[in-house]
Amino acid sequence: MSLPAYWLLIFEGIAALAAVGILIFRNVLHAALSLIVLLLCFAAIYILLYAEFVGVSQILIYAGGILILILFAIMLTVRLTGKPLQVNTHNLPGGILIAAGSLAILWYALGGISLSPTGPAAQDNTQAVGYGLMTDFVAPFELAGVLLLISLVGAIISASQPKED
Amino acid sequence: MENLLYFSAFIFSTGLLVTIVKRNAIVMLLGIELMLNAANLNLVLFNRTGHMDGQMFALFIILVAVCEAAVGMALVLQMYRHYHTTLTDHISELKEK
Repeated sequence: MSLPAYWLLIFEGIAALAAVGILIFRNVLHAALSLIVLLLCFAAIYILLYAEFVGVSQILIYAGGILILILFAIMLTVRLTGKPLQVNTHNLPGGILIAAGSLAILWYALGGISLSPTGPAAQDNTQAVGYGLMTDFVAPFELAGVLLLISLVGAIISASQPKED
Repeated sequence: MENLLYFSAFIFSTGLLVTIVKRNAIVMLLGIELMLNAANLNLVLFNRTGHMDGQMFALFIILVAVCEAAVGMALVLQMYRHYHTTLTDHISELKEK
């Protein structure tokens, strides 16, 4: 167990740095790239916590799908002047107050919890997830298909050019 | 193991701060992704071996995040096409004048 604990701290540190980077980078593209670093670190943490399927889904869907979408959106919305898209901050004191408050509440609430270290499951993780999807969670699984279809159609309709007539 | 709880709380607060503080709609979406990931990490942490409820919820949250990102990006593109900006302050009317 010493090796996973050691690596967990490393990936936590990198992910925390990337999160702070999203906060302080003024270039939107740099913020999106540091989000990629954070998502890959999260995938590594999931795999170290013996949740391999969630980790691989994280890489495939987040780092492969959502980030490409965000990068496309950034590149399509760059101002016509050709300068990189800069972003300013506002509401800084109030935002810091709210975020510090939520951090304090969460740390206070989560402070007393002790987790038993999770070991590798007796069953193969991917197999267990597949059984779960087809038995206990089959209704949300089917609903997820409907949700994906609706969001696909909605995204296409709301992104398409209005007809000029 | 317990430091992961503090870590996910930190990531959540950072995402909240990004969402409140930044003026660009795309960066606000990045903050929302941060918060979703922090919640996911907690779900995977509290998952116990034997039953897979936490990991299932994490998978479904990833799925909903995909839908949210797709629709959000479509809205941002349409917003940019109409107002030529992604700054949320400049978007103050819902109906075309």
